[in-house]
Amino acid sequence: MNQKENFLKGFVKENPLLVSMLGMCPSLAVTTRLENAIGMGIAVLFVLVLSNLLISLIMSHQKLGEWVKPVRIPVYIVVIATLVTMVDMLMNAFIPDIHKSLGMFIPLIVVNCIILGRAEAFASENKPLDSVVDGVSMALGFTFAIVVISIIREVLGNGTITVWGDVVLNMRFIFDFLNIQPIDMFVKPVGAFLTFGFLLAGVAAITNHRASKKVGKVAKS
Amino acid sequence: MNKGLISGLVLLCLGVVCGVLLATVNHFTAGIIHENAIKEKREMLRQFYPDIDSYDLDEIELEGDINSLYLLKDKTTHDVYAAIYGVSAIAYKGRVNMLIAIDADFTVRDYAFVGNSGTEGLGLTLADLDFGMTGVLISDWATEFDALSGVTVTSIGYGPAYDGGVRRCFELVAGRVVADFGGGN
Repeated sequence: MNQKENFLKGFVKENPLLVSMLGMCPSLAVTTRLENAIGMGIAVLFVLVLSNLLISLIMSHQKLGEWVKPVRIPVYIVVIATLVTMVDMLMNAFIPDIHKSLGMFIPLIVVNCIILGRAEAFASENKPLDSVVDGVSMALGFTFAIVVISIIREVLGNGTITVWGDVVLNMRFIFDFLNIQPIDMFVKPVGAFLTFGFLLAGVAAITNHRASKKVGKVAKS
Repeated sequence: MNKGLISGLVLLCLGVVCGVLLATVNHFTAGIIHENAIKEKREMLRQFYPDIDSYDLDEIELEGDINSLYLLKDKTTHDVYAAIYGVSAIAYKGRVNMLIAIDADFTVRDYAFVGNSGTEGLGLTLADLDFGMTGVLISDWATEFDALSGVTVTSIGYGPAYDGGVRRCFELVAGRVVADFGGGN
């Protein structure tokens, strides 16, 4: 796999949320506003890239890797927990509004399956540069998915898109045109599951369509 | 050396390195986080005292129904200028949470509802209700308190329950306000 494929795989082909269905809990909980999704994306990007890099550096060192192997899961957790605590403190200091809005879901990144999954499945067996590219790819894929979910939920549920802080796009004209009110259900948990379900169906439909096209081409040739 | 022991020592070293790293980040962020918290509290209390920046703000954490006390003090004399109580009491299907601001002459500057765990309807409109306590001497709370009235409120049963909760909040504050101002004025 070259670096370009390594980078692009996280967006669609191996998207951690829409294909592997990892890290669903925070994704569904925080996607009530776009700025929450962006904040969560930044936090996951920071943790995933650095944890992949550090774990790859540790495991690729011959002697150190050998010593760490029997206790690798505790080592991953120590590294990830340290990075999450750092990001928690930094967000609390520099973007307190987003920190407050995300609440418990920042510390819970420690137990996000995407981070531990990439550490064990990729970073522990690949070179540091490849691991960093993998971390960026997976984090951006995750962010892309939660951004899409949050835009759908916020527009349908509130009639707004809160990009960041006071930058809010008013989308009420859609509801005014249709002469209806925003659908409150979409900012509630049921709306998260519905949106996620429809997105999964969409991704599955596209994947199936591509696969059937490939089969058709092979059959013709 | 035993392989398991080496692995354990590596984990221990990693823990120490991570601890040092966290202590360093904490050293840089703790002050900013503390400043943010104070700023947030000042903004919350500005509704009662728009000139809050000209006073020192002391926060006293309490346990029980009165869960916080903010004292505004003169920057030079350190005399208590006002006290704002964060107080809660049982109301309809849960607790009603209030902020009650008391001036140095023991009159109620104002009060605000910061949340309640009641039902929708009256619960959500509680913030708009006036209990006639602004400007009243806190020691006269029992006689000055205006109960909720109206068929739609009292006949369903919310009214007496909310009245009870809000009354209790004022009663709690009245019980300790003199002591908090240093025993008299």
